[in-house]
Amino acid sequence: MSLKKVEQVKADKGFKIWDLIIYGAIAVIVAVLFITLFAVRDTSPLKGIRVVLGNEVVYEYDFENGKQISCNTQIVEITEDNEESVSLKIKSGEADYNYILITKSGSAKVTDANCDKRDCVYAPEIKDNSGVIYCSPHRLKIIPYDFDMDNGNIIM
Amino acid sequence: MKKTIAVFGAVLASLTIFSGCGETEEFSTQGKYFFAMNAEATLVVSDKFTPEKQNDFSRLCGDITSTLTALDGSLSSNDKSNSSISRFNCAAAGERVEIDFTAYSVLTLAKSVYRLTEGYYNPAVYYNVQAYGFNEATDITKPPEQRIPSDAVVEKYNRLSQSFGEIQLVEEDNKYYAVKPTATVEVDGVTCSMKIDLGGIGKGYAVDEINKLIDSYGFKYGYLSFGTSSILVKEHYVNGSYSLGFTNPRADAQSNVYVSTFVKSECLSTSGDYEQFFMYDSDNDGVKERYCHVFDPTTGRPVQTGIMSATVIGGSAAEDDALTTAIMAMGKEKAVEFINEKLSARKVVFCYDNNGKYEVITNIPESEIKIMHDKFEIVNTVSDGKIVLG
Repeated sequence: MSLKKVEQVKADKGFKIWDLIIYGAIAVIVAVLFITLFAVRDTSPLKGIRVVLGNEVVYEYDFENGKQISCNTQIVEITEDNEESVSLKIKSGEADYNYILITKSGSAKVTDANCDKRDCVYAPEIKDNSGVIYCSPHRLKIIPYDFDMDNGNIIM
Repeated sequence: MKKTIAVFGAVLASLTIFSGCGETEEFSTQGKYFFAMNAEATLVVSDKFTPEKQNDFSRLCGDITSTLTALDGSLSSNDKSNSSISRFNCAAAGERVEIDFTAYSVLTLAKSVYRLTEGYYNPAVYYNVQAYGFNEATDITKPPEQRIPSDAVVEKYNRLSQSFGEIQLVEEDNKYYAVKPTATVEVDGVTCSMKIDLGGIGKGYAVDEINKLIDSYGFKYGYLSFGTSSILVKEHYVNGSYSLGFTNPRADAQSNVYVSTFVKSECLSTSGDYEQFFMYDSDNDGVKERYCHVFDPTTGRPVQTGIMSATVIGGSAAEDDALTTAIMAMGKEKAVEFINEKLSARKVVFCYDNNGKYEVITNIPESEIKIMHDKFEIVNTVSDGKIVLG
């Protein structure tokens, strides 16, 4: 680069007004996309969860009010209930079971089950409204209150 | 000034697109789960649920329950049930069995796909599936070596399945009959006649029937999935199309889907070797082979063609279900030939394990399909809707 050109570059302003407008527009679009993507994945705190066996809600816990809403005692055995958590044994079939740990601060996970692949045990803990835990062999689901079943994405 | 307006307009347009135009505020989503044919069906409907629509949704769910109960009662292959298919299975070779209209319709469809695929779809591999321990009564704790039947047994059972095309279907005085082929084989001193399992195609048939019910109630938005194989996709209430991801058959930490595409108002079906399978080193070469629940009717053994997963989009869900099973059994070259010749009106995608290189082969134009995992690569081009291998 010649000395003359270096001097010219030095003399120029760092950003011209149109540069700033374009960069600003890009920043707005990126921000909108970012917000949109996060809106699709609902990461708001859990308000509550329902444990569904087949088509029936067998247990429900409301995190906002910190209380159990319903419990079908023929199917659900509360194995432990303390200040921090509730542990459930779901009798999902004659000899089938799933153990669920509900943390009262707002999370739920399956800790043990006797289904074949134990996918439900390895499924990530539910901490927000973005997903469910599903045990297909036992027809058991743990569903957040505000889970959006129709967010436009399907995996098959 | 013009440029300022142009940029401002572009930003405004982006915001409008992503805001959903405010029309979706009154929409809400309702879901319902059903259980039939040893699988779960999930119905998801989005709509502006006025009291009338809510009532329609409740009635739709009631109708779906009745439809699934009737289909289960007709197509179950469980010997303890009194379904048309279990009565056919329990009948003696050559016997004429009265069946109901549903079983007649599904058997007619199964025979049609059997002919179309030149036998690569064959629901009469019943005993082979059972011999490898993939039926309802499977003891999953059995070690793999105890789930490999002898070559002689596999060959005998497979010979029996080859007479599927000989099943005669008869309609007389508004009654329906199936005449069982006369072929029998003897295994361990027991004489066996043909048995069939219409579970896969039956679930697809159920999806097609439920599709009609959803239309009759005027619901336009949502989807229905049945088991892991058949899906009916209507429209999405915001996006129009659904983004559909296909399960990575060799899922790892990077991604649980290998491709995705956009779909609306279509039925589709997937078969794969990753749902029910076991690994076993049958030839003692230190490499375990995969034994999955999809069977190759030409060998009577689990498919080991290298095709890991196949999806068919379009047409009826019942046909799609049978077609994906057939494609899995055909192997790469035969499948491409079949898709180009017979399935040009449908979208098809399958993935093939070429010695550890995962090839994606599809007649969907590259602009409409997106690879979601580094290990997978589209290896063909599409010309006039046909697959062209490089």
